[in-house]
Amino acid sequence: MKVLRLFWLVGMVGAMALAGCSGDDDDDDGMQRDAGVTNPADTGVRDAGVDRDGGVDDDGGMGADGGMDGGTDGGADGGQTFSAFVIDLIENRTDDTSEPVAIDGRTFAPETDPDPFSGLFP
Amino acid sequence: MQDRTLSKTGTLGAGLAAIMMLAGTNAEASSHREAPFITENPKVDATDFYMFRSYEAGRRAYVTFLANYYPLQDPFGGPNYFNLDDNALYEIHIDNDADAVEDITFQFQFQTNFQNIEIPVGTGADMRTVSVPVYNAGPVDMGMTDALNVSQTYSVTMVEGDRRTGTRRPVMSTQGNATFTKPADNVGMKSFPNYENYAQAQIATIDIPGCASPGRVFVGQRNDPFVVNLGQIFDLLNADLAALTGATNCDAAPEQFDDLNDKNVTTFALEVPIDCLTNGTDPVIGAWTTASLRQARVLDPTPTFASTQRVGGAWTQVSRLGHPLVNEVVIGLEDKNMFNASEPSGDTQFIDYVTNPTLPELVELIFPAAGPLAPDVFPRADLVEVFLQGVDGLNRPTSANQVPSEQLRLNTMIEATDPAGQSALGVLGGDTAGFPNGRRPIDDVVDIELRVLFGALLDAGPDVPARDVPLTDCAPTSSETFLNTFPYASSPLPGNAIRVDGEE
Repeated sequence: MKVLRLFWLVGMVGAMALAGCSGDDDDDDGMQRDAGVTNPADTGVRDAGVDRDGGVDDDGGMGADGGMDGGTDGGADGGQTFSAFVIDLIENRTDDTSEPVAIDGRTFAPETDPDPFSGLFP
Repeated sequence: MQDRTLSKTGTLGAGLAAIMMLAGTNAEASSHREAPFITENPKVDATDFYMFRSYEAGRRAYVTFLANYYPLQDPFGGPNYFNLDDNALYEIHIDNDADAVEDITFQFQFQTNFQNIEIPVGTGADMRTVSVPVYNAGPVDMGMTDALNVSQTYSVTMVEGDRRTGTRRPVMSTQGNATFTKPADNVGMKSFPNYENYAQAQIATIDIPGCASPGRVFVGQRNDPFVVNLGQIFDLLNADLAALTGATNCDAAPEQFDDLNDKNVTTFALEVPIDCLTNGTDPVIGAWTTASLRQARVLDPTPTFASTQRVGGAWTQVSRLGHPLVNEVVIGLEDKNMFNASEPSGDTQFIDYVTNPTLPELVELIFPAAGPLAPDVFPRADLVEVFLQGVDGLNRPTSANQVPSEQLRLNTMIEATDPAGQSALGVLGGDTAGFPNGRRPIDDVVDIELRVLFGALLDAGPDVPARDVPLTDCAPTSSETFLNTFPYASSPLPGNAIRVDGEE
């Protein structure tokens, strides 16, 4: 116990600096946490197009971008349907190296196919 | 049930008891169903993670990792029992240069094999061959597995560098096999008259890419070593409160406090030579386990045994575990799912939970008459050190560029302690080979972390009222739930403990 306390005393200043602590600074309330929830780049969550591999937006070679990007995923009026999004994930992005596609805030156009996933179960 | 009233009463005593029970419950559950989303996916729910210098005779040059998954398994939970998820990726990550990014990853993937045992039913023209509804259609033993209707095999891949884009190489058995067998779950003593012999036959000696010496691997059902008083705790600490200020005050046997006493879990055990884990200059390694699912899932409207869904998309992490307790009693409910999806490199987003922990304050809110109990010292740099950096002089990496992050850290230069000399209090008990220098099955991480949480590492003073209280949850780790040889976790409880001859 005493040994640990000594370690703590020695390491306290360095710990605070490394962890980005700033005492009772109210400016730090919710700091990175709040930002991280809305910005995958700050969360450490693996996500598409953030910081690992150049992102989904750069990988047109995967043949998966049709309907996924290009600004079509932001609204239900003429945008991508949920089934198209999911089918694209399954058929074009099932590998060991892809990063997940961010879905935060994404909305989808109404489905027009009455049985949209039937093609997945031949 | 035995009366759990303790021997001491009083305002402070009641408060301390509350501390013990609240923290102890969550803590000893460690990571069982700790986040809302993971409760929907028990097969990929990491419950506990261990890392220690192997203390089995002749294996002192190795590190053993134990990653437990799939909590709260009732041994009698047939007829389907507790297979792991064929559509999941289970991983153990090692960071050996303190940059909060994995340098080595061991990946486990499973395949379920369905034999579809059929038997003739009826006679003559009315006879039909019909599929049986059970897990096994007869006794199973080492070398005698034809009666198993369902079984699982798995592969292991080692990735150097980024877990997704790094260099991937298969881990093979020393006999050249790329596929390993997970022993079936312990249905009962008639089905598995010699379960442990059968299970231990599946311990495989493996060639690890780049390693001069072979390691070992085992995945299978085990007795869950953790204890927890779930019912009373989550019912607003609905118990007779008294002082739990020391083990001598506990008035019931440990199993009386343990609602997990009759539960199993599934253990991933991996033994790797130390030389294959460190970077050659720093003896400290950090490690954690994760599980990931494919991002998309579509249910099959006409399911069969083999096809119940289509999954696809990138691997998406849903479970994460390094230190015990972190996502239970440190991370707030609103961020528990996020923590499970996060990586150590992003842990600054959770810093408020460490510097300003809520649990001690919560106890004071529940028991206001107990008076001050929580340390009034902020920010809690002591917790930052324990959880995010490693303890200076014990298991802090030597790199000047360390990125603070939540990982279990092990100084591989510290020799393993013989089983007879191990202290359940780890470093606090003078045993530097134990928690928080890695974690062994014997380490009572509940008592250790509880004392730290309430200020054991802080300077004495009026702001740290419970600093010197030897807090305990009255539920010590039990040697019955672990072994002193690989895979270190004990045989699972049988679904039925009555043998063929009627003896229990």
